Amino acid sequence: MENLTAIARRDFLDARRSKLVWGVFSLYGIIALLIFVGPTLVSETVNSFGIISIVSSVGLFLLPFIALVAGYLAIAGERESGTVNFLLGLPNTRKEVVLAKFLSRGGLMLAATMLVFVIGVVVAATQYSDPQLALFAPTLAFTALLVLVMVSVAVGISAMTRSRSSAMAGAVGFYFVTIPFNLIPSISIPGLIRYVTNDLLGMALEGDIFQFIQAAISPAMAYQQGLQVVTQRMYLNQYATDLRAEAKTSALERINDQAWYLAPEVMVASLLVWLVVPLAVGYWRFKDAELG
Amino acid sequence: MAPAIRTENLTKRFGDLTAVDALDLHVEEGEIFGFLGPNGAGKSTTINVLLDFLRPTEGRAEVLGYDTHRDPIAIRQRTGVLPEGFSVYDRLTAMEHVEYAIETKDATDAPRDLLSRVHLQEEAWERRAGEFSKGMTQRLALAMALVDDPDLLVLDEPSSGLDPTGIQEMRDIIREEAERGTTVFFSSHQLPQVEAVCDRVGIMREGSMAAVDTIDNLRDDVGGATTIELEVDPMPAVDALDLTAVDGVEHATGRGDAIEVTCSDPRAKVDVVKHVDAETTVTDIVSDETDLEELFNQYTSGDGVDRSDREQEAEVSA
Repeated sequence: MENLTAIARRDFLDARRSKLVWGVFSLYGIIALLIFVGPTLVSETVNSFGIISIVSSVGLFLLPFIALVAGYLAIAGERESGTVNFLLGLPNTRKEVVLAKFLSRGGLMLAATMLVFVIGVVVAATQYSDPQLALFAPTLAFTALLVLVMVSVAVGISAMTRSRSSAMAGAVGFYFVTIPFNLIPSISIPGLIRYVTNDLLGMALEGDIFQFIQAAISPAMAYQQGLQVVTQRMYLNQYATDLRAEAKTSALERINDQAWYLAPEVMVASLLVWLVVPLAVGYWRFKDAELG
Repeated sequence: MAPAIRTENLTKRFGDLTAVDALDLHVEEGEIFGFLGPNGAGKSTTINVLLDFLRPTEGRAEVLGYDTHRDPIAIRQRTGVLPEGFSVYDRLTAMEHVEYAIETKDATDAPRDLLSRVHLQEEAWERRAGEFSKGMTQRLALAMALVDDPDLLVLDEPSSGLDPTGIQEMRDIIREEAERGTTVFFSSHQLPQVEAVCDRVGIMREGSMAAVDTIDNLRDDVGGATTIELEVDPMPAVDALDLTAVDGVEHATGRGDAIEVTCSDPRAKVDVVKHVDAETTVTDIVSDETDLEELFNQYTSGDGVDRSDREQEAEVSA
């Protein structure tokens, strides 16, 4: 495993010099700036709770996109170009290659995310009428977990495919099935399951189950579900000073009324599974893949 | 001591296509082995099995005494590889490539020494490899292969993209490595360079080894005729020389101020020169041994060498 860092460092260097990577990370930065700074330009009273709910809704679409772009060519690109023949002609194992790619691309995404959050905290502390800085902690934790999960998905897909085009097809497919299509009941997987169980079989399963399925099949939805509950609770408990006590209590009750399997802890557990499984499956396919 | 490379009944099929068919290959430690054959004969497939890029369908392969699939890391730690169909990392410099290989192999080489050894011009060392020509890329790849003074060098078509000077330099490096005791295994479909450096050659044809031997022995086996051309002054009447009376001479013809003599036995050449010199003055001698290319074509086309294969073909057509 000592070669992990050698591969990861070169890959990091290679990615850092890529125009594509700079392009998507600029997009990341610009959109983050718009979210953090934009509201201060149009409103006198800005609080972090409002901003962070925008972060979780935009992040739902944006973070997976950027992480997939950062990772989908990690291995498939090397297989198509032939650089993988160098990599594996040296005393590197295929396991090291998969893990190193995850480390370098994940590190890249994490570095960009930290930078964005430092900017966000500085803007909130200096510009917002109500900074509510504590809310940034769970937001950063969830966001960091999501980007790592999506890099794992991207590298996993990349390890399973032999060409750039099939890696791209896999990444695009994953994105659409787990995010936009997942939000449209008539074409989403939970929607289809509901049609079978409730409409055809008359089982009358409750909505929470389908919400769980929606989050379980999609890291991005699990991120949103988990982050929103955590930040809402935190906001109601610590910051919502202008709300009457009964309103606060009923809002908290509404959150707590959700099924246990929609709790943030379950969402984190689901994300942790997503962190490991794609890499493991990718490695399992790449381990015996025929190269050259 | 274990042979550097040994395959036993090595077979690799891709669906219906048999790329390598029951190949038994032995490469001894310290020798320079030329792995020849036309494109599609199974050379690269064999090399890719040796490097564990591909897994054998049947049979097995050992490199430096290690099984290629069970101990690929032990093999790569002691092997330098110039792979086929590779490309370099476009955005890393030549220096960074070599440093990468050194770090991965835990070696202590100085990157500058390796880059100058392969004659990559110094201005290119800090440039990104994406801007390199094919020849420069090939030199860089060779520098990476030479890291840590490997016990075995596996070079797949090393001279592709090199100009004649580059090919000469590549040959020199192969010889230097062999002198240090490195086994060199390289594939090629370009014959002259193989002829110049190899101790032994193996000729692949349709997934099997058509012949393995030294160049000289192969030439004898094929029984290729040798021609000798004598420039003479004055030009005598060729028929009157009666050269076919000399042992081992097949025929002789006159062309301008030269006599061309074809000998079935190379030893006849000296007698031919003596015989002609007795009648007139020989001003120049050009001896032309069986061209390796011709030899190669004979082996790979199946004409007159591999009888068992011809019989098979006959059976099929009958």
